[in-house]
Amino acid sequence: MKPPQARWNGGVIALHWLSAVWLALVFAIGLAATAADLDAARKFDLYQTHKALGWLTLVLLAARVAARAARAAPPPAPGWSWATRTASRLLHAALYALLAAVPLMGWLRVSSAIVPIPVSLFGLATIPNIASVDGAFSERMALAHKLGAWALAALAALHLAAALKHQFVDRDATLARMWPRGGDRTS
Amino acid sequence: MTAIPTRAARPRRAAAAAWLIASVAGGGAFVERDVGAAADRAVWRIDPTRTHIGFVVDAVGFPRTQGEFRVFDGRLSIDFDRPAASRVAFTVRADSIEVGSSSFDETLRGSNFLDAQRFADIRFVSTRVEKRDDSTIDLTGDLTLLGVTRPLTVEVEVKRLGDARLSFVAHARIDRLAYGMNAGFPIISRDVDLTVSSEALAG
Repeated sequence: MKPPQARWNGGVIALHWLSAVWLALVFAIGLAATAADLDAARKFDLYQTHKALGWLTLVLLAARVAARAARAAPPPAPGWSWATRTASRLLHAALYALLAAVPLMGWLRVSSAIVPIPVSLFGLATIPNIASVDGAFSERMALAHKLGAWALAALAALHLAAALKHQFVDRDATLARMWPRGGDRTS
Repeated sequence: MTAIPTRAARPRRAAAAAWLIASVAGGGAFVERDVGAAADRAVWRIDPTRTHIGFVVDAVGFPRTQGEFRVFDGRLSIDFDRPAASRVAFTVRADSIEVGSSSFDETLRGSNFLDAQRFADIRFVSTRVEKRDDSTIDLTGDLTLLGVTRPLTVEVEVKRLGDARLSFVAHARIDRLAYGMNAGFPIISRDVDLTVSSEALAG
């Protein structure tokens, strides 16, 4: 018998992995747009793609929060110390905060930028600006967005390292709870 | 490619030449003397396959943007003996801008930049031609962009390639702020460097 309470529900699991892949892609495109030595047209396209996919991470986050709230979380894996539980909680709180803050700061940067190019979802819809034009504010937001993105990448790496530690060092069910078809491992 | 007006406009050439002469006479005041002068001038038309209208714009923190306008029409009325009597008129379709990315093109055609829906054409009509040396002329005229008309001086290198073909390269620097195209300034430079390299055919 599978213990159904021991795993995250399917919606949470699907959205988690979709977010992981999506965010890695958005981060890579953002990095390429700012750092790669490209011509203006390629760079423009990368920025617009990054802005569209990046804005959609807010939709993804809203869906995740809804999916998370819809059902009770599984109990912590047996054997987690108070320190582990606290570290996990803090890390998850920081991840969620950055998942909201980083795209929001990007949206503010775009909205207030001197160069008026709003977020466009691949020509299907234009996302309204949420701030008035202010070059200095926009540059501050750009820096905060960049630092936030690197912080998010660092925390995501920590999150991944912790999952691997639980799986291969502690050999507990932490990763199995979030694994798409790993239900049997929790038994 | 069939959209290039130069090709489509052949039957209307005479009418267009008349328009050119009328428009360069200034403010609709058609000067009788010009009709006589026009007889000495040869009318040339732009060869669209050998014409490139390119521009370059710099920006801070973004690579230099290079692009071109694909749809245009140009007429030259040249008096080699009296260069000052020559006339040039160029019309460029604003929505034919291309920079190598369709979404970038759309942005530049949009209301913040060329506003191509409201201002379909960018026009240049010469008002004065001054010969600088054997191969260079200073061409002064009125540039109409975003509905704003301002004087512009263009440096043109001219080379005759036989009796019926003429090669020229024109350089101009346009201050886009003067035409009300303020978007992105000062991140995006106010100067737009324009280069027209072209060949014109007699008749």
